[in-house]
Amino acid sequence: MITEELFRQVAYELIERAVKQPRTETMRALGACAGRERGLARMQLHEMLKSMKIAASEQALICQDTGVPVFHVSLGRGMALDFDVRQALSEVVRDATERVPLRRNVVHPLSRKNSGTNTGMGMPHVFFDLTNDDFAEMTFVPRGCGSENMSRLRMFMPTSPLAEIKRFILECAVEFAGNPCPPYTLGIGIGGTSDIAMALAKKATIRGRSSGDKRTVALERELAKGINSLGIGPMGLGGRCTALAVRIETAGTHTGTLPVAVATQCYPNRHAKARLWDNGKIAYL
Amino acid sequence: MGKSHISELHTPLDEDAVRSLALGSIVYLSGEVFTFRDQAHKRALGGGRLPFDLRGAVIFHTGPVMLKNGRNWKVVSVGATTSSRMNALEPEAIRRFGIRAIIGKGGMDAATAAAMKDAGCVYLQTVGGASASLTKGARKVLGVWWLDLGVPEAVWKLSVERLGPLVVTIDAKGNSLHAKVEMSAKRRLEKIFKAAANNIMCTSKAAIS
Repeated sequence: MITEELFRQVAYELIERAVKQPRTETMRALGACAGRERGLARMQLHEMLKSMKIAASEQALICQDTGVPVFHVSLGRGMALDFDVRQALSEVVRDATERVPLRRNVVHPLSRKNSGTNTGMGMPHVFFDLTNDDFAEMTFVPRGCGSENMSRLRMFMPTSPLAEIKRFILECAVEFAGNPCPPYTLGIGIGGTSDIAMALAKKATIRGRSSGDKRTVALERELAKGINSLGIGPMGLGGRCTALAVRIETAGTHTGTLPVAVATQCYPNRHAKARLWDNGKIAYL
Repeated sequence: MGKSHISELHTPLDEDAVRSLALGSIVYLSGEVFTFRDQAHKRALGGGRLPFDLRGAVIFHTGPVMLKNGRNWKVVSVGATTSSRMNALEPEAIRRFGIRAIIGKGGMDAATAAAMKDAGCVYLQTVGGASASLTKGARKVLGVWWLDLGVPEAVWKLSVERLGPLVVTIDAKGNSLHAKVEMSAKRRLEKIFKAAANNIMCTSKAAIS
């Protein structure tokens, strides 16, 4: 059984890693981009890499916008968490806000009053899931406003040709321009219901690898190529690298509908993940 | 773009110096800046006398992370937020308060660029998200106003030293690198879909590129 104490320790560690420890695969992808760019695009990519290295070596925040706190918690078959999980994560976020520290971002949506703790009013948000694995998994994603504001949903007709969906996604990229800090990871959710499509798009941004489905992989490649040919470039100042990756998640949908959701994740793609086993073993991914 | 010119700027900024800054050039800024984002714009334009003076000043679209040690505030992290959220309010703010330069990211719209041209103001883009590096240029906190808006939304007066690199992406002549890239991207998008149009008519698996 995973104890509350261990669960809290891991949650705190994930928050700190997500906002201070750049992901190796992201650094590698940005480095590859720098090799393909020149002028201002190249200069900015080098600055991004330099800053991420400083964050890693000095335990500094990668970005001042430490987002709103979002957790994904999945439990393997037969596993249990015998404590108030939401309460525990809320207290961890409150503590992390003081000690990491995190920026105090969470406000009431209408009064705009700041809670001062990044908690309350449903925050931190926790997505729960059940799997057939023999481990539990916890992911922390700080969702910053630059990427968050560049989210779109369109309900297509069931008869809409695929080309129309492709065009919508490329139009999104043109509209987003430099706002979500390109080169970003673009998440696309196709199918399900409107809310499922958006959840899939958000999940896709942190999936880390391409899906196994051949048809989807081909579409991901085609869209990445299309977006990168628009010339938007790092921070929108022109260049070849606009999308570090395009990730698509799909779900079955109603015969009378076709939801398509688009979500962006700024270039550092901050998130941290851990696996926990019943015997107390932990692995950070 | 060619080779980029690099220059050092010191506040208070001279209007002629600002007007002569070339699009695409790189600058490092030393002196004083005011953090100024969504809610501060709204409140400042709501009327009443400002408790701080923005005439000839540099504003920074940012919500910093601050830590209070006893009575003193320390800058933990500072970096630009998305400037386009301030599009609706910025033209009036530039004209009314006499802002000389704006630091941000993502660029601003044509109306803002027009106000910048009138007032002699430039837009300086940071490398977004590169806060660990940028924060090294933020020396200390000189003052704070409107803390009731919350730490990110309050107005912080910061002392900065070689803050940068910043790219002049909207100059004081009304030229915008953001607008240029956007126009070119729109043209390229049309080209992609024109080229694919025949395929689209014939097959459901049309290629876009």
